[in-house]
Amino acid sequence: MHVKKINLIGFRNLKEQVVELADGLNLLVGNNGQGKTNFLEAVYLMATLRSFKSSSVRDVIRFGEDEAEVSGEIASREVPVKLRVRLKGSVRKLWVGQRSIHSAREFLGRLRVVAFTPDDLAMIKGGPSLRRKFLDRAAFLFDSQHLARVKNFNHALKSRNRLLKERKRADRDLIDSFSQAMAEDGARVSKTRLEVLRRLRGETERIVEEMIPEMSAVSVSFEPGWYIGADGSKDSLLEQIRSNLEQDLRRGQTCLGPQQDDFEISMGQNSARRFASQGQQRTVAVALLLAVVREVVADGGARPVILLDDVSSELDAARRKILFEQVVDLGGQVLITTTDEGMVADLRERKIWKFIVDDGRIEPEREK
Amino acid sequence: MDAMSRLISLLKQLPGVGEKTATRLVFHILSSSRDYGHALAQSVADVVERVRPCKQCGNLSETSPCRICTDPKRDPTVICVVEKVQDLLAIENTHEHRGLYHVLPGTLSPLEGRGPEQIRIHELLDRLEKDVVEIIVATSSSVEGEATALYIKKLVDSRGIRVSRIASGIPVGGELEYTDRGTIGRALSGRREM
Repeated sequence: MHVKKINLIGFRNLKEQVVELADGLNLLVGNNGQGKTNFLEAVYLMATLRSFKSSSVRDVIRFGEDEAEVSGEIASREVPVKLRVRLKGSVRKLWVGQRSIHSAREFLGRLRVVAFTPDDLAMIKGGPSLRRKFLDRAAFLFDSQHLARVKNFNHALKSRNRLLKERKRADRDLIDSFSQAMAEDGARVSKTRLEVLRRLRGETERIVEEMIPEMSAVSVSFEPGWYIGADGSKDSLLEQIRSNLEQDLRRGQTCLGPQQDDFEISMGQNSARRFASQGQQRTVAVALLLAVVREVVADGGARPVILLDDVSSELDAARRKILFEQVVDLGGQVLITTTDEGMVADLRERKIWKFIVDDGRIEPEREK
Repeated sequence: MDAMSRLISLLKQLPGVGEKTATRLVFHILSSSRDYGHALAQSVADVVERVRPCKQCGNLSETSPCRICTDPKRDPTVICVVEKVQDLLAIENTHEHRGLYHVLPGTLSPLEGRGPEQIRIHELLDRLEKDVVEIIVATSSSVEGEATALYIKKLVDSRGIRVSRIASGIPVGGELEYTDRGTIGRALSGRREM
């Protein structure tokens, strides 16, 4: 599967234009602020209907404009398709081919994208929310309803937390209604995260061993924010949230639940978060990404489009080489952004399609 | 501002109407008979003057209580709770519901500052003093719509009144194979015994 052509209107700082991409390694070179990440985001939007930069997808509409539109031709051996997303104010319109689509559910899953950003590279060291975000984006590739469930869950959680802040004056029946709303999608959210991490675990451990043979055995384990137990049912989550009400009222927030889900990487007996070097931590992050791509391919689906946003400068030469080679060897479409072309010197013997990104315009470099 | 551009700019404030449509509508009014234009103006004025929310159920009506609340053929022991008047009209058009209504203005939304006082829940409870046997909650299937339904159930449960929730799932005449997974999932978990 690859994005053959993409058409942009009113999208962030990008000029209105049509960009044709190659089914291979596409390199986007340009200074900061010219639109490289925005371009990847446009591809990401067609796959997920979400932004990977801001929490509100409306932010992609260029300042001062009413609407933004991204459309793309998706080439695939099985089903070539044209996808179109138009955002006008808070209204979203979707088309598949010429047909207008009313539910996001029907639209999603036609373009599969694996995105990797500097935030993901920092996820081992960073806070749990970075790891949850990574896991949720990975889960979306296997279950296109996952992000919608996370969104519903977060909405219920925020609502409940707002009520808890009223402390003694709080209406307990009202809090409980939102506890039930949290459990409705929350149990499934945690279970999906757990399943996805299980899928990624073996592959990640193997890849790390290939990349740093001298590192002691790495293991990946899920740390749920509540007691999932054997069945992880919503009744069980609800019971746990309910039994914690007094503490929640004192703290003014919901202490237990999927919002606390996390995963831990350990090297031998030690936590990678605390004991691994920065280079090792980034290697593990890269291994997780590669594991996602391999698992998606193993899942029987078409090869996903891989987006690597400015990750090259954060890696040392050896790891960069492994990442790029592995990604390119998978054989799908890859979009890499960088400020410094030297970063991809290792790939010189490969076929690269280069684009210059300047002031919102993306131009293919003329053949030398 | 002349009369024509004033009307255009007023029409433009309506949902779904832009400059072009507004201009077209004004030209249409001008090319129609004078009677039509006067009738249109008068009827806009009448709607604004006469239509009020019904004191009992919140439906929009020229009388209060409204026509539905005062209809002797309707069953006052069953109340259907909806989020807005448009939903009431949608249910009315089915002719399936012979009971009364209660229109909440919206759903419970802590994030937007809407609590039980803002959405006429106490008015609903007051109505239950009179022989009500069933409440049908027809709020939307969003997080807030569900939470509103659950909250109503909690308040009403102790009174021995039946609370039911409208089903969500496969549309009538819809093909199962073309229905998205989320909807099928809901329809399955909400199945009923035959």
